[in-house]
Amino acid sequence: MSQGPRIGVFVCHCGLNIAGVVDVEAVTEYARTLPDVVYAVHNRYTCSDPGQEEIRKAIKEHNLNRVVVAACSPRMHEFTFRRTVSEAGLNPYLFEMANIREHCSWCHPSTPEAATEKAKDIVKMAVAKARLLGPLEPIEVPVTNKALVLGGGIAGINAALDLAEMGFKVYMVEKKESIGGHMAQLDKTFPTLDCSICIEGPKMVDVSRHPNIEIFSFTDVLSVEGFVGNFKVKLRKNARYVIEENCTGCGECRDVCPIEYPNEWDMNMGVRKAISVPFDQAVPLIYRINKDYCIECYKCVDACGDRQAIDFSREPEEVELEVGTIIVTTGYDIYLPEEGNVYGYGKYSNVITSLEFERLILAAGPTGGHVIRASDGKRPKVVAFIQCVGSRDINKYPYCSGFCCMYTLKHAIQLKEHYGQDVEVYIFYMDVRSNFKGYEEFYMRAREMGVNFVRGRVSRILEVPENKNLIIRAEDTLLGEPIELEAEMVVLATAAKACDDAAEVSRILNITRGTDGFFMESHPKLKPIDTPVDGIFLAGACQGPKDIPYSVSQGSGAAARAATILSKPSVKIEPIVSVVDPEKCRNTRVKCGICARKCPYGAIRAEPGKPAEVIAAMCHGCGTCVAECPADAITQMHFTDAQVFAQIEAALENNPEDKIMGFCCNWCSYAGADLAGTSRFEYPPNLRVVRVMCSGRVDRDFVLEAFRKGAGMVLIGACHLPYDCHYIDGNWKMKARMEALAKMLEKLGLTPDRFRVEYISAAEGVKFAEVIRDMAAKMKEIGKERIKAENAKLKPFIDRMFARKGR
Amino acid sequence: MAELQQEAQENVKPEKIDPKFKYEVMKHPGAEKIQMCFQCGTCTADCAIARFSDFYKPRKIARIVQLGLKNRLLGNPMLWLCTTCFTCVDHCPQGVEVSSIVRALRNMSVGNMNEMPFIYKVFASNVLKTGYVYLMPESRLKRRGAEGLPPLPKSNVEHVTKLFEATGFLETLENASTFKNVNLKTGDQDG
Repeated sequence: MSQGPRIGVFVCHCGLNIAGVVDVEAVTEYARTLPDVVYAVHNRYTCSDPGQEEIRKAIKEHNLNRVVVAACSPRMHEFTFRRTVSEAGLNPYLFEMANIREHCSWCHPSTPEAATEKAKDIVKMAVAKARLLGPLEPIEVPVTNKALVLGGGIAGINAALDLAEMGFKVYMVEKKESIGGHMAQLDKTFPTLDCSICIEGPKMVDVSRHPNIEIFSFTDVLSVEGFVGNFKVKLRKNARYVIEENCTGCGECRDVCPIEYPNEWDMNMGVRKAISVPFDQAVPLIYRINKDYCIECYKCVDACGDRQAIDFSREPEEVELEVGTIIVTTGYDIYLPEEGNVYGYGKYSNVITSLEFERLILAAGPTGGHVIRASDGKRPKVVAFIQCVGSRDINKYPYCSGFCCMYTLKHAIQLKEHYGQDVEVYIFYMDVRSNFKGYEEFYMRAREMGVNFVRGRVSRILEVPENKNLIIRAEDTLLGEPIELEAEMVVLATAAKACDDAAEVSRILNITRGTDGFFMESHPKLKPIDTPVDGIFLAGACQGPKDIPYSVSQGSGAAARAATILSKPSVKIEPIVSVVDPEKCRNTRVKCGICARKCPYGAIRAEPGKPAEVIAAMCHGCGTCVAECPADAITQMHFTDAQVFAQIEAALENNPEDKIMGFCCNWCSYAGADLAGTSRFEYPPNLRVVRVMCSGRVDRDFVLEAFRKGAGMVLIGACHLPYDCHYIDGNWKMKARMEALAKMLEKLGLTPDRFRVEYISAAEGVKFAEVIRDMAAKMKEIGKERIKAENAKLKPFIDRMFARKGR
Repeated sequence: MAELQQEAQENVKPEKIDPKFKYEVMKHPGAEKIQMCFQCGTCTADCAIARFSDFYKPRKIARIVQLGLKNRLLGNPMLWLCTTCFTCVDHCPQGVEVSSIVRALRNMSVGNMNEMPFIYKVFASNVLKTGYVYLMPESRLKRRGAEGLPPLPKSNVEHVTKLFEATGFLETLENASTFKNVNLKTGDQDG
């Protein structure tokens, strides 16, 4: 830019919201005295049309090249004013906001003079930053308008069909031989008792026939690279030893095959041939030879004859795809109680899991739909269902598996429908969770049909040796007495858990998992389908246990989310990304790569001998790498070290010993401070806040600089551990960094209370106000003299440190 | 009652549980919905008796019926504590009539155990004699006239007797033993 900064400051009254406490005239007057400020006015409502027009006019008339609006939170109107200035021809990133409402007038109503002084400081900080702002252009990347759906269960099927119908090419990858997922294993579905495969089968066929969908079954994902709009996916198609194009699915090979082995699809209760499909409705209907069992008698080759579909020399094949978005629908697994479990699963033959029961009662299942006991092949007259096996147990899976209550009710109703009063059904439960449409009515139906409910968690099951019946011990908590019951069959509703390869998928896709092992959504309420990685979405039970309607809705939801990217030729990425200075990067000289390791998104490449490089499209702009870089070689655009240092200097110019220097992350603690203001929680006006996108951005040097400039206290506000961070784990990186710093500062004579890290969510306005009250009280207690003395002792040390780094 | 309490201290054993018992109860008018009870306890919170009695809890009675622990119910004097105010019926979110279930259990008790409270026998013989549960003294009847109220309608005692005979109630009435009081706290009977 040819000329120096020419800053315009616009102070908003916000009616009386600001002007009722803060002397806006004095603030405006003060703004005029600040360096590079050439124009300053106050206005009743800056965000109104006339208010915005005034900004546009002033930019032109006074040749402004920076704009500061002192009004509400940037979380409220930063976007509005960025648009305003760009309409006047100014780059939107040359705008800065001073939050004198949520952070000032609203939380200091009874101390208007102090509030006015604070407002002046806030404007001064904003101007200091504005002087150093530079124009930024959004990063635009092209989009490959194809999608990958990872997992062929009911969620994936719906996502794929919806996207295909919108006209996008979809690749569906399924690790098993057939798509369909768990739903294809089920007999009936609650609460309507539709036959599961009858409603899912046609959808599976639709997927296979759709011209826009290509299925890769019996296929693993090896790697995923790239970023939103531009993912490169490597697959491995495992060898079926059957040529897919030649196989007609006639099954003549199966008929002649002499070898049988347990069919996993039937929970190993049935058998399949060494050349077979897992079930008759399999899609794609392509046979497979299991070489672990095949004796290579070649009878199948003869049966296949001229079709020549069998090829024993087949090798796994690698395929590479390019896609713009990925929908993860990898589903869940069922927990199987381990050896020595108190319910005797695996030890007593008449104790089975619900999924095994599902295969028993299914007409196409291994027993032809007859519920019989493994011990004697007889039909049980008393069947007990045990709920929450593994679920709601802190020693196993602390969460509720969600759908077990409903499928157990379904099993109970099915038994009653089949056998009426000739079977007595007991359900041992802790709570019956039958929310959602039609579910409570289903529970009523089970009671109407005479299903017996016992509220109590089963403590132990013992087998009667003579007849292999089972004695169930529990407390009937409604009777308030221990109870024993003799059942002829016990069915365990075992927990739904994250699928066994969730860790692998999470590593390949760089998406996070919760403590429960399921994939994490970007925001539990407002972004339930997004992952923290742009362009990757979640649907179905891979995100947490879900029933069919929920999975179907999420599949369609994920398709719609994916389409917001696929439907555009390119996507824009906020340019607040990190940039490496190759001159300063020490990776050229030593093996460093710290930034690459600390980046939560894998957006930094640090090859030996070369300077590290940020892939802008993958960078989310948290700034963690900037704070971690030992050579200060990385800069985060719009949140540069120089800008933050300028803000600190401005904040602490006068009476620093009275001030709390705060660094708050945009998403949680800054928002928590906003909420404290919105809720009108009053706290002492000592705080000065620097907003960063993530607490991970808070450099040790920021804290040191604050103390060097004489700050009374320093606060770092972050999202709650372990999982609230909007950049996956920036808060953890900050924690490690600051724990080390705190120890060092303490050694150098700093009273520990003067440096504080707090985890405050966007909902914790109360906590934010409490923390500031507490810190202000402590600051008073410690006293100005001691603060000054401690800071004086620290200063030479910090000066030396900064001198070494050339600050 | 002592026996009942002793039983309560042990585990409820499989042989005590009779899942078919509830179907017996359900045959009685008003008791059809016992299976729908999900033990919310509204009935017990509202019950005029439950607040004075340690064991008369409508919810618990419904539970015992569901489990079929019939030994605890049939012949248990606590069944006679119900005032049949029907508050439990009015407030039940599932349409279960606990009061009617208790009436069913009373009927089954009298049928099985041949035992009823003395006052019921008095009421029944009153009905048999006059068609009224309560025998109004002569002085009261006179006062009715003085107040200008019409005389009470006379009932057809013969019909009532026939009805009592036909249903077998007359025989029950003649043979049943009686007790006078039920202790609210312990449920024990005396007299």
